[in-house]
Amino acid sequence: MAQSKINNNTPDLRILLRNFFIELTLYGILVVGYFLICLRYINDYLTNMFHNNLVLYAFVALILIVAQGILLEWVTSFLLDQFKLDRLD
Amino acid sequence: MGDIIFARSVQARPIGLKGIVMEFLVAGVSVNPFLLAGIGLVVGIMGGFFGVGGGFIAGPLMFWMGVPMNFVVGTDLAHMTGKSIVAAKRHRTLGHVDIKLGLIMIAGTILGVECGARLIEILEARGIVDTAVGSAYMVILLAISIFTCWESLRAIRMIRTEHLDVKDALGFKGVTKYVQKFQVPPMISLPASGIGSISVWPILGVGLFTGLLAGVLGVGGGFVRMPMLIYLLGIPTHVAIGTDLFEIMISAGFGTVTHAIKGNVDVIMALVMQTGAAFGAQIGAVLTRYFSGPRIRLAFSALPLIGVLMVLFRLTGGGAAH
Repeated sequence: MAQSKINNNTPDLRILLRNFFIELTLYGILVVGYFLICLRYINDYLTNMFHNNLVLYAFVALILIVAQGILLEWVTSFLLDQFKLDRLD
Repeated sequence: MGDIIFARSVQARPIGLKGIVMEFLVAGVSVNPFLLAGIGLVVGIMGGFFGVGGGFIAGPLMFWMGVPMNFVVGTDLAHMTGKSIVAAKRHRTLGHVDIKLGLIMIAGTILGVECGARLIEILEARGIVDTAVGSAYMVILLAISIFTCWESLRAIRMIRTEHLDVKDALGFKGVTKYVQKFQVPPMISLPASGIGSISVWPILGVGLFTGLLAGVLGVGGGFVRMPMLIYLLGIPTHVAIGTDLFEIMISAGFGTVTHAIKGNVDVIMALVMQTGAAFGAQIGAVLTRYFSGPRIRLAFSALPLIGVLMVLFRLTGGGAAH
C-alpha cells in the first residue's frame, strides 16, 4: 500500500506504525486519566455550577473539552519527542 | 482506586460490561459509559476519516440509550468539538487544513444557520415542518450519495484505464471549472488547496448553503460540505476533510456554549464520549494517508444513506431522530 511510497530516506513503515501504536497507547492513558481526574475531583463542582451558574458552567465545559483536545495532544507529542520516536505524520 | 473514583457515579454490577451503568448527575440519567465511549470511538474514526461530525449517528443512539433529547443535542455538540479539535490538529500536521478557506466559509455558515432557523419558524407556522424538512433531507442525502458513488467509481476507472498517477483524480469537473472561472472580486488564493485564484463569493455561498441546511435540518452539515468543497470549489479530498473538521470545530464549539447556557450539556457525559472519540479521530485522520481521494469518496457515499434511514425511521413514527 504505502510501502511503495517509502524511499531510503524515510523511516520504515513498520517502525512508524509501531510508534503510532505507542502514541495511541500513551494518548489513551492520558485521555482516560484526564477523564477520571475530572470525574473524581470536579464532578460535584460541575453539578453545583450547572444548578447555580449556567454561564460559568458553559465556559468551564468548553475549557474542559478544549483542554482535553489540545493539552493531551501536546503532552503526547512532548513525551514522543522525549523518547525520540518518529511520528507517522 | 475504582471504588473511590466511582463511588458516587457508577454502580457496577457483576454481570459484565452490559450491567455497568454510570449516573450522570447533570443530565439525571444512568447509562452504560462503555457504550457511550464506543459510540464516540465509531463517530471519532468516521470523523477523522470523512471529516463529518457524526451527529446523525451519535444523536439517535444516545436517544435510544435513554438520554433526554435536549442533552442529546447539546452533549453531542460538546463531544464533537473535542473530537474535531483532535482530528483537525492531526490533519493540520498532515497538511490537510486550509485555514483561510475555513475562516471565510464560517462567515457564510453563520448567516446560513440564522436564515435556516427563520425558515424553520415559517414552516412551523404553516404546520409542514416535519414533512418538508424530512423530504428535503432525504432528497439531498440521496442525491449526494448517488452522485458521490458515481463520480468516485468513474475516477477510480479513470486512474486504471488512463494510468493516471494521481492521488486525487476527479471523475466530474464540470462545475468546478465554472466556479473557478467566476472572477468577481474580491479574489483570493488558496495555496493550501492548490488554488491560485478564486472569488470569495462561491466560498461564502458554500458556507451559506451548508449553514442553511444545518439551521433547517439541525445537523452539522459535514456530509454536505465535504462533497461541495470537492465538486464545487475543486478542493482536494484530503484538504476538504481537514478543512471541514476545522469548521466543525468552531461551529460545534459555539453550539456547545449556547446549548450549555440553556442547560443542555452534560460535560462529564461529553468527556466519556470524547474518551473514545479522541482515540478514534486519531486513527481516522491517520488512515486518510493510506487511501486515495476517490476511494475515500466511494466509502463516504454510503454515509448519507444512514441519514436517510434515520429520517425514514422518524417520519414513519419509529422514534425521534437527531
